[in-house]
Amino acid sequence: MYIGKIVNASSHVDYVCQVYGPGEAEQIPAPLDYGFGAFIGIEQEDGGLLVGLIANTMLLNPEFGNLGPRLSPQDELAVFSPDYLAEQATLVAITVIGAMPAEGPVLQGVPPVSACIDARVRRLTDAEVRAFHVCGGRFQLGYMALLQGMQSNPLIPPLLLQVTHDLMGRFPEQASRLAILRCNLAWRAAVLPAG
Amino acid sequence: MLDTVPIGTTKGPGETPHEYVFVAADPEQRVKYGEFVYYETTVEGARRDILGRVSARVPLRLYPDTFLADPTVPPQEVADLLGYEHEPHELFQITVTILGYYDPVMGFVNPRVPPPSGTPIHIASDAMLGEVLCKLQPEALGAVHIGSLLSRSRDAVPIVLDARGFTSTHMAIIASTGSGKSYLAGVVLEELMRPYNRAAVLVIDPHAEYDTLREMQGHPAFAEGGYAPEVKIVRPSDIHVRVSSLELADLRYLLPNLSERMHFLLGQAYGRVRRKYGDKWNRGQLKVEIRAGLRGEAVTDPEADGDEDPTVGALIWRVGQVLEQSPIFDDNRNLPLTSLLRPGQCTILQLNEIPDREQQIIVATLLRRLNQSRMDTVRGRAHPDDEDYIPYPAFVLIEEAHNFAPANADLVTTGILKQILSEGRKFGVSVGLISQRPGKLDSDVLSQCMTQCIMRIVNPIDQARVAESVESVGRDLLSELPALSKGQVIVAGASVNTPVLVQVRQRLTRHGAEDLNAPEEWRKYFSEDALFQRERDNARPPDSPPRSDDPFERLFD
Repeated sequence: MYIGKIVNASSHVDYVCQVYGPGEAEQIPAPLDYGFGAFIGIEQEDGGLLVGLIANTMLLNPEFGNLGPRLSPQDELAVFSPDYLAEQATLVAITVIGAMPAEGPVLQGVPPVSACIDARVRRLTDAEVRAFHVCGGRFQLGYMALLQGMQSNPLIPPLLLQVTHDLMGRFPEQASRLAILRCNLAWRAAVLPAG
Repeated sequence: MLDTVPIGTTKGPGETPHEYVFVAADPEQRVKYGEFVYYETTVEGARRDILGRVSARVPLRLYPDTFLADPTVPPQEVADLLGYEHEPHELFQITVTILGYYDPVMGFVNPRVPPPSGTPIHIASDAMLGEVLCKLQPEALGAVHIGSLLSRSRDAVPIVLDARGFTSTHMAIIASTGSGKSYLAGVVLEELMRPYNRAAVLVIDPHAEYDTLREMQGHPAFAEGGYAPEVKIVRPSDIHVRVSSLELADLRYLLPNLSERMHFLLGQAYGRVRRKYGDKWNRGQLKVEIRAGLRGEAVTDPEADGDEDPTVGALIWRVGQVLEQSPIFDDNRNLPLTSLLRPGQCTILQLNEIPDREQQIIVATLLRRLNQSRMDTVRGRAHPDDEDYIPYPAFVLIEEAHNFAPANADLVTTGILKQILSEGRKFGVSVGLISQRPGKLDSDVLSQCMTQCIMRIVNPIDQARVAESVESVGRDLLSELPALSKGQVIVAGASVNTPVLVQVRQRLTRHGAEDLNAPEEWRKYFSEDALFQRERDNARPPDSPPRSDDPFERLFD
């Protein structure tokens, strides 16, 4: 399931993806497909994938603040100025956490290559998520350090909680280890700031 | 491996080379202060369990103070409100003092390297501790089963002292009043008299609180085959010190505040009486020699006091006051050591109602005679017919030891106690010192007792004295002293493999030093029986006139 295309990047690991709207794809993605904390893949030209997480969502609406009268009714705008609708868009921020090259082992952490503009973004399948987390035959979360280093972003703690919760469901055999991690993250995210 | 589920994980080395720290959630609160834990490692190719004792426990994750604002709202509920629903939330950093792995020959051997970070830590099982903490199992030869490990359920891990330890290198029982030191001493005495030990014990009992030990004589737990312990109680009226067993220092101690001239005169007279009569002199002979004066002139009538030197007269009066007025001193009678000390016999020497100085003289002369007797026996100079022939080791338990070896004072007992403490192991004379004021006890004396039983001590001076005199107990255990409850004791030294916190076992005989219940006694005064008794005692003949209320008239009733 494709959810959009890369339209911008603010760093080597922070990308902006524009979610496909009506007419842009055969199947419009549902909001849960690009929900917060979802694992996504950015397709590379060589057939590989950059693996990332949906870390934020922004809604683009040029009409915001434009409260004046309009000559054309809203439902006729699609006929008279079809490109106008395209200016409203849903953007999602993607944090790249690794790569699954077409050949070679999975990489967790900062990938050496970047994504291209208009690179297609799709939701990872359950099998791909499992494959990404098994490095050298062992379950690993090598990208956690990268996310922990972004603590200035207030959405990182809930993102970490969301990811660990998601992984506990996918990897029940790792639940006890993930529970320790999640307990610690929850304490720091929920209890300590409240004190 | 004895306990397969780890309790925590090693974090890293501690502050000192023999410490490490581990982190544990410990929701069941199993990791108590003083608890024993271990980790597995390989030492010189052999798999070893490295035992350690928990010495500190610090929480790592506490609820914010503001969560504790309302005592009716548990902080867990506040955390739940915020979406924190994980259990358990608590984590502790636990410091462990490494003891090492147990080697039956070497004792505990420290591997001298802390465990690597991430090493799983296990709680030591009862069976493991039963094997390694003590040198002996209960009811073995030399076993003194005083109780069980405090951090475990009662009787789960028996703590057994090795009597060979404290009967060669001495013992001290130190505790403040009411913490159970006499009770513990009673337990030790019971164990020494059990059929597997059959010790020769003398108890110096200044408060007459050990006479309940007599119950051992008919108690089935103490009988085996033809053996039953004998408990001999020597009352104050039966205690005699033959004056010829007194040394010059004893006489000077009994006669305080003598002038220089009197001291000199006494020394001269004592020397002459010893030269003339050897070890068998009496009070009359001493007085004769005093009367003979400095020049040693012949005296025909020891009672004549014609034109003698006033110093001589005064000294004779002083000697008479002390040696003749007191029922303790006698020309002939003595306490025979052979009747006081015998294997399978516990002799309790009750010193109540005897003045302090005389108590000290009694103890000093007894210890001196015992030490001499054992020295003579070991060196082959004693003969079975000798009055003080003791061909077996003896253990002397001294209550209120600070009265016999006080700090900052040199009593007649101090010297002989120090001699026994330093040399006694060679001759089979050992002492157990009991004191409620270690701060008042001579530090040399305390430090030479190599088995220490330390109970609750609150007084900071006493704590400091224990800390400076007792080397084998770590600071972590000493910090427990004010927090110990009645009947809880820290045992350390030569009789155990490592210091342990012990809950003293129930005594088989009654405890003789229980506090008087004053309110109950007052109430008894108004009981029906007591009222009837008083009425009967104060009854007047039926034909006598009624008793007047006027106290003056009552004088003529």
